[in-house]
Amino acid sequence: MDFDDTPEEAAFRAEVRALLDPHRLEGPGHYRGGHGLAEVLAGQRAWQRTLFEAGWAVPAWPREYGGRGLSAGQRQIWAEELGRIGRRDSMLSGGLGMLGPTLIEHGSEAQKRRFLEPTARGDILWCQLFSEPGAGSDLASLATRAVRDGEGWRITGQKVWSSFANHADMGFLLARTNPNAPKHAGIGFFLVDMKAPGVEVRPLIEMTGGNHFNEVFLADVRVPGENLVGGPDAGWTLARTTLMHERLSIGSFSALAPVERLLAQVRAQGGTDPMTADAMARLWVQARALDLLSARVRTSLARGQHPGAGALVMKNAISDVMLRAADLGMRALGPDALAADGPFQHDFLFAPSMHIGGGTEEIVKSLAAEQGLGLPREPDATKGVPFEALPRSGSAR
Amino acid sequence: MNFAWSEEQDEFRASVRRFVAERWPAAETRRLAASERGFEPEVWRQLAGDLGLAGLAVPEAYGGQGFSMLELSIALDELGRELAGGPFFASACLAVLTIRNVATPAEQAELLPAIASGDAIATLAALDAPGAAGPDAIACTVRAGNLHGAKRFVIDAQNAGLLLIAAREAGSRGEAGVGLYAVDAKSPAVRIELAPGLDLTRKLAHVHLDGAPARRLGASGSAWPGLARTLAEGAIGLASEQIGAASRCLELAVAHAQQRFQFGRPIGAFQAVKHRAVDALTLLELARSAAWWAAWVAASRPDELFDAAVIAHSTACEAFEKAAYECIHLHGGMGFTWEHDAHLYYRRARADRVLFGDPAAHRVRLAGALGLV
Repeated sequence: MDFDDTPEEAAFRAEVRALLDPHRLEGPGHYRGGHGLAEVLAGQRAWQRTLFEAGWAVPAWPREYGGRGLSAGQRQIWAEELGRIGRRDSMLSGGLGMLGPTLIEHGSEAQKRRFLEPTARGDILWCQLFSEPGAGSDLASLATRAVRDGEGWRITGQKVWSSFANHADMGFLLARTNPNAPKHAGIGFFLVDMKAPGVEVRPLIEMTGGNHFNEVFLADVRVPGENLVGGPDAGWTLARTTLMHERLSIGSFSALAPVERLLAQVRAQGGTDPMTADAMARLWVQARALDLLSARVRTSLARGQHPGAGALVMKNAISDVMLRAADLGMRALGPDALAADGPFQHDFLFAPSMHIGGGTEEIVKSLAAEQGLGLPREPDATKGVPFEALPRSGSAR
Repeated sequence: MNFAWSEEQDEFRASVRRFVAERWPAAETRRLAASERGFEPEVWRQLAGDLGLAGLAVPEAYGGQGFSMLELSIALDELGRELAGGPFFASACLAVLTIRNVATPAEQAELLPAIASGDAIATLAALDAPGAAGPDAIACTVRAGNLHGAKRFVIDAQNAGLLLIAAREAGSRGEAGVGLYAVDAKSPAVRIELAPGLDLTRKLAHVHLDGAPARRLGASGSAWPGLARTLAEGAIGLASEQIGAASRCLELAVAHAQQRFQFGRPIGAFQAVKHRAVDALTLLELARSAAWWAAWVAASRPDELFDAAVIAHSTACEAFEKAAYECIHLHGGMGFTWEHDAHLYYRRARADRVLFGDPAAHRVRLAGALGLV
């Protein structure tokens, strides 16, 4: 057990820091709702190209695909150092952190050649087209249809909660290829050109007043056969790879960063009352412990071991910290919390989404209970039932 | 960074777990709870001497194994699972750390070998009563080499031959004037009164000092920094013991939820039951991470010791209380019976919150250090 950088890690950190430090971002580098999304995106694309030219666009990817094959420990150092210069968040992460790794694992050689490099360069902004109005937590009950059309497919349906789809170049989409199979079988994973005829994107305004999400309507959209990843029935397996990478990226956030921002605000205003101070100290303790849990999980991953039950509880724990930090931030503001804008208003309004996106609090807990504690699954009434025969919302009589 | 135990440490953990499972399972702890001693001398001899646990943290030069807080925390974790160990925590952890932190090398050479072999049992009474207070909570005084005053709820004092007592020079205040004194428990001026406790499996006693002859350890009037360090290390050690106990509580609860059928299925298949168990798991995994790190800090990063103690202690108290409560709740009515072990853990969890001061009290100082008040 040793929490200091090894000599190799220290050398790696120094190398990364020398590369990144001249590029410290002043001002907001990530999109926090409201206007300015296009400007932020342009800045992030330019930065991704800079990284690409330096050979650091996708350091976590294997070398043969333009990456540097970083170890789990090195990836953490890379993320920490990106955070230090204010460039950790990126709207391009759907491609860099989710679609890219999925293609590397499951894509054909032709798909890898065609998509990986432009994705790494930031030329393709990817959006995820998974959730549907009728398929949220039970994603596998999705109803968007993909019907064969010669060598290709015709896709019809509706997607929702698709981040940045209104700016995206491409989407990765799940659609039902075989409605007569049970729900998990008979799903395909498609790469869809967002400019294709029949794709219509309608921005959703969230409760923050900002716009991350979109509804995406697909009306008989023609998708060429070479844009199907894996077999026509392999979509669910691929989606699990993609979602695992999404959860990993959520779990790699530092829990301490939002708490430090809160403490800085309180210090700047000369402190707070003892009860609020205690709640903040307790939150600080929780965030420190969570960052330690995250470090423990990374060590397991780096050693090729199963990360254990700890990894399964991190997403909910970080969501709790963010909710609490936002609430205490508002408390610290006193009467100024009544204003529309301020240092914590956006966090406060954004916080309820933390326990919904990327697996709801309840879904995550059930997974942790089943996979981490070995508790039995609940009987699934839909097991083995063909998709066509499933009861759906609104169908109950 | 490497957040993992070494192969040797894993083997050590396995050997302690085997020993505890064979010789000191919870059923044995429960049987011994009725006794004044709380341990079986032959089993203590094996644990202390044969396994070498009593001298884990004693330097090799003084007859010990020369290990750090890391190995101590492994032993405490494994003993904690079965609420076992008797005077291990008081003697091998608190007393040894106190002597190392305060006493001179010559005094260490004299006192530590007998503790390391398990022949002598020692304990520490730092504050006059357990709590989070500072040196002002020491009113015991030394006059002409004799101690006057009382120490309440001293861990395993009824088993100790050597009492390590913090006392102040008459008229002194605060940190200055606090010294550490070695007192022979057999002295006629010492009265030890067993204190039947909320926690049935950790023995406590009040120590009354009525002019007890005492020998000062370390330099005059300057023991407080070493004592404060010991209290922080003790809280970190306790956190590991709590993690072991909490893990056991959760294991018992989960095992029950897997085999108890109601409404035609194991109750563990119901979401409401799963989610309670996962709430306990979440707190436990956070606390476990904090406890392991804190043990490393105690061994390697003295400047972060006090932060580490607050983080480990605070998270471990919450995790153990939650796990002990859920262990009762998920066992239903059976969990509420005297016969079930669940209440032994529940009692231990609440008592542990008091031994080194409530985490909330420590957070007052933390809030100050963070610049919040």
